[in-house]
Amino acid sequence: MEKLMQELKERLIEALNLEEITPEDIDNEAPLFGEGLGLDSIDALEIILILEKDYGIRLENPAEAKPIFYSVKTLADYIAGCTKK
Amino acid sequence: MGSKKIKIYAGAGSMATSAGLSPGENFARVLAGGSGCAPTDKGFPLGLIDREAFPAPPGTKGCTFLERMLIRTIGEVIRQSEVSLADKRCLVIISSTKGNIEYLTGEDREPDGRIYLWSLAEKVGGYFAAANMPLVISNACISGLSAVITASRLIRWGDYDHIIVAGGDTVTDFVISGFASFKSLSTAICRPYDASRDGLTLGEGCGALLLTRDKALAGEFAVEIAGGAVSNDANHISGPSRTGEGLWYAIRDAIWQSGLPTEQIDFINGHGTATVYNDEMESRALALAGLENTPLNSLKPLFGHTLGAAGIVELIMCIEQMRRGVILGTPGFTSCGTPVGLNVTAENRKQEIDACLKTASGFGGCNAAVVLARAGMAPGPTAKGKVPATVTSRIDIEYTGSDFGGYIREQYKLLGESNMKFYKMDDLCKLGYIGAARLLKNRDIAAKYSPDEVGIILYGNSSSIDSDRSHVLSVGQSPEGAASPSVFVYTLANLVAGEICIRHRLQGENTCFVFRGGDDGFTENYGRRIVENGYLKAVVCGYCELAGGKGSVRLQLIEPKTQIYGETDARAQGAPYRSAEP
Repeated sequence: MEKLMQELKERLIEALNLEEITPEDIDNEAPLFGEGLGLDSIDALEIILILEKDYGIRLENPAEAKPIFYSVKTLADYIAGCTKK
Repeated sequence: MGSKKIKIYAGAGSMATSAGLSPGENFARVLAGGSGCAPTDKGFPLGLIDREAFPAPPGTKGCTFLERMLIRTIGEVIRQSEVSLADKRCLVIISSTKGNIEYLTGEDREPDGRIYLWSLAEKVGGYFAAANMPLVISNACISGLSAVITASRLIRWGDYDHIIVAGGDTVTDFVISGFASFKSLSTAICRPYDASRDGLTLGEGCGALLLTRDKALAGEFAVEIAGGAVSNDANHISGPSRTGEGLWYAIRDAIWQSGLPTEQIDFINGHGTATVYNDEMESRALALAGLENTPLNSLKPLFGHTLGAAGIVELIMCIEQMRRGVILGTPGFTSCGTPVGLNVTAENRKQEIDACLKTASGFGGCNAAVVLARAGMAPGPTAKGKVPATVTSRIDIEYTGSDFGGYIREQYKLLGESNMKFYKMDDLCKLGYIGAARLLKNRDIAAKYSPDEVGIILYGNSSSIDSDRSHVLSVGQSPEGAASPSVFVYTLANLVAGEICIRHRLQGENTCFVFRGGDDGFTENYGRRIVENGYLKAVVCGYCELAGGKGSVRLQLIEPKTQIYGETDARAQGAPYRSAEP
């Protein structure tokens, strides 16, 4: 799980152009949206794209994204849950 | 300049959409309950025109489909009205978001410049041997209304007697993949304002409309462009405002210019794309304007969202509804699903129409509103004097280095800001952002003016060409052809204005022109007259361009002359800040 979270942070930093942010700066459990990293609706769509391209996971209903995209931890849990199936 | 008596009339109109090749055919299609949009093998419907069957005008063999549509509709307007483009008092304004973008493939350089929007002006101008090179406006989905508003002013200011506004865009893989990345395409024909709406339907089309000061060209049922205004949300480049405040500013100003009381607006043709958030935003804006009970329709289920053509083809349909005394229903509408309940028309109904409101909103946070009125109905605003305006600040930045990333990072650090959004922007926006930050440094505009009193008028040559290429590359590299929304969103000429509006909270007019080379001072002159005539209190205007490793941003801040001499703030003299141009 640690490895997945580290990998996710690196992908997020690259895909979302998080300049001057290192994986160490992102807390596993801190909210990704709102204040913290200042992510917005376009970033959410980019995360959907990361799930599709890098993990082969298609989020059927974008409305369910909110709790999944809450933090790096929730995102990693979701990916781990999907790949186990 | 500009006589007080000048009124702007709508003359001949011509259009081509998937629903028909004339206003009459489009109207008949709605009356018959049909739509030009049809299912495709891509999994969603599109409003496509049958290109084989399209009656191409003679002498357009080497033209693209978009150019043929423009030439045909403009030709129709000329034929019906007998104006001549050889006349120096006559101009064409072309509105388009993506022009001939299908010619952009990977890294190939299009040799004859056809992918650039200015090439449309040269093609159309050349075909009609026009005395004036057509002006090009590219302002996302409000482009068509921006053209109408700009044309009205240029006629009112006495620059021209007749202007044909012509908007066109085609459905391309470029645009489809982009909207798909935003998850904004509906799998069924779009259902504006409906509780079951789940996205938009793309369509292609073209519309041309004559605007003239000559009432004799306006036909028996003469319709006037009684008001028009543009605003910006200054909130987000793609997400519609959650409050509707931006669109409300445009509606408020357009109605104010017409001099009509709000109750006299008989019906509204909204933007109504049928995305959840757009329609939600519109409902809030209409409520702020006190128009939530006024009959409202959207014709996007008829011919789809035609992007740069939308403002013009939909305005032509508004004029048709006024002339025929029919308010059309919104095809497919069953029950209202916006947070503020709206009076959406489901059925066609007979009603005499004296005044109508047309709105549009688009990426970059832009909004536009136009008021149409039966000639003689709209009294116009209370007259007031002109405000002398002048350039109070200028910046000029040239970039010709080989490491744009390093250069722009350094420039950004010099500003001493920490804005997480900066590094998400494309290079053109970054350059414009730096330019505007330098221009407005210590100018105190937030203290001197309210956000809706300040606007931005820009021009460029290559629009968003670098991001256009990135988008094509990203789609090509993805196995499923999936586009990156954060790249696609920047593939519009006006996004740089949108980013500057967000950063400096400019909520007034925002308009973007495209020229092949220099603009002969047009943009600065236009910006100055906007302030002089009271449409804005202050405007940022100038040139912003980045392509092929070379960049340039030259901006001016134009303010009332009282600002430099420190005499009296124009607002303190009791002058209304909304345009009071008669």
